[in-house]
Amino acid sequence: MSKINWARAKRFWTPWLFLVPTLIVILVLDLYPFFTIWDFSLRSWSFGHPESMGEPVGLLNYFRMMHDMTFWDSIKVTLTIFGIALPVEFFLGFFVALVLYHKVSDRIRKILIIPLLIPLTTAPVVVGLVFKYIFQGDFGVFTYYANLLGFFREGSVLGSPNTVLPAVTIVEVWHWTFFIGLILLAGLLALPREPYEAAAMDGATSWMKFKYITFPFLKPLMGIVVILRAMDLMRLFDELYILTGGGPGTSSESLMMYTYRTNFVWWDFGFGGAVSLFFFTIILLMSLVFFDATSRKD
Amino acid sequence: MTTERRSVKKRKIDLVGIAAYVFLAAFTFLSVFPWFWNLLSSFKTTTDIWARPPLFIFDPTLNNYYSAFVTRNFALFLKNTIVVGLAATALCLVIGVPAAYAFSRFKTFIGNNQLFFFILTTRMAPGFVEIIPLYLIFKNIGLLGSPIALVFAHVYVNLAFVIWLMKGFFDEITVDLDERAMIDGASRIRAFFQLILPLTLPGLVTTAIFVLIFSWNEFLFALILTGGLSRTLPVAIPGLVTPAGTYWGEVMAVATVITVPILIFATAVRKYLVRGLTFGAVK
Repeated sequence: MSKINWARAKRFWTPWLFLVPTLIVILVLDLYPFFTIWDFSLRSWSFGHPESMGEPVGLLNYFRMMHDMTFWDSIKVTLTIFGIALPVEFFLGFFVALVLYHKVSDRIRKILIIPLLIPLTTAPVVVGLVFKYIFQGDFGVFTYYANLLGFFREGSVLGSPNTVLPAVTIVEVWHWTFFIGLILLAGLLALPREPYEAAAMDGATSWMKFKYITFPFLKPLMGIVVILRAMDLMRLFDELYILTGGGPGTSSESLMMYTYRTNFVWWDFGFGGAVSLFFFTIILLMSLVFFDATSRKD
Repeated sequence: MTTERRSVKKRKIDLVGIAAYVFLAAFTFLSVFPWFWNLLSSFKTTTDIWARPPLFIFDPTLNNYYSAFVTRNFALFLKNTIVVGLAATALCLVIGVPAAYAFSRFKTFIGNNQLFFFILTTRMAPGFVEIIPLYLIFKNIGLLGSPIALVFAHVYVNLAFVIWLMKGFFDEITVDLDERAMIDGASRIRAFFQLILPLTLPGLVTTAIFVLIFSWNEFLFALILTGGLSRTLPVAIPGLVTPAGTYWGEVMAVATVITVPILIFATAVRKYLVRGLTFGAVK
């Protein structure tokens, strides 16, 4: 009798044994920060008294956020880069994947992939520094050849509010286009052969094959790739921090950089907490979409 | 007649083929050039860096590497980066791999699989909500500015990734194997350690390399949690960009040292690259 219970208890507890370490991490490092920040965001912090928790002020920090123009500007900057970089990366990346799949032999494809991995494996900080170097006004290699062609004579493209966002967007496109290309290429290489053979027997054109076979097969994958990139673009920080520091002025300050500044430059964890939670909510909603896309695939 | 038609058709195909190769050549050139320019510049003297027009042929020098890694502290920062990366990777696997096994095997037991996975999904995107409390915790216990704080942060950031990825590798091994071992008298834990874990070795290595790469390249947590001599390379290197002037040669030397090992690792796991880059969502 007692033996059976022992076995049962063991069967009950074994799964938990595997999960407990992860559960602890999630409880300590997930729930605790969330409630701490919520509490912070309802208080007024003072730079002069960093040790005190500050007075409860209700939702004041959230109202302040809504009335701060730089907050809205940072959203505008984020959405501008997002709105241009994401479609360009997607269509260019998909096009590269299609060319690599259809027009190149297996061997050449395998060789070409290695140099093409360079951008997406480079640390964002390094990407920022290398492009800052290339965009230098006085000796940058980009500036030199652009000047020869008659462009950007007034120094670095990063130095003017008119050209800084296109420049940052180009860097993003350089960094991540083949991320999309590589994943969609993997999807293309995994396509089943049979539907194409059947379609060829029915005399389908290549456009029809693309529209009715390739595209439906790749659609879930496209969803995953786009949402992953979208989350990354929303969190754009490292490259911008290095390339422009949000400047000139605040003309290239992204939402993530604004959040950084409120917390770790102004040291206002109340106001910064409100901004952080706002940001958290956006990313949470995007994760929901990602989760939906991945679980629907199964 | 037929031969003529054939040759016309052939030429047409060639045109598209040539266009494709030209496009790929241009795309590859643009992808590689910034990295190539970085590598080249790391061997230039300051005079050559400032040269107009930009120099492609010059007398190479190792001075930038010497002054960054010997004269300045970058050897120490390199060591910090390696230590944090290895410690975070080891700890992350120890915590995350059993959880991944549990998700793969005890599906009926963990009824709220969906909810749990959703929680993990949100962890893919750490933001300031997590960073600020971590900063304050480490500040209060006096670990701020120590590599230990960064190790914990990197474990936390990568845990969801490890579980996602390793669950996929466990799913590929048939459940029958565990059950047969357990019928033969092995306990669940023994079956896991002695039978299943060795079978996922390629998956473990791949996951470890990915975590190592993420930790190696990570900037934001390192920026906030480390300082002074505990900095990692990504945080230390912008320190060479000063208002008084930038040591571009040294920046390029350190950038090369950050980039090249990752490139080697990524090439080594390129078979699993897609799986890793999509958090295991694409096999």
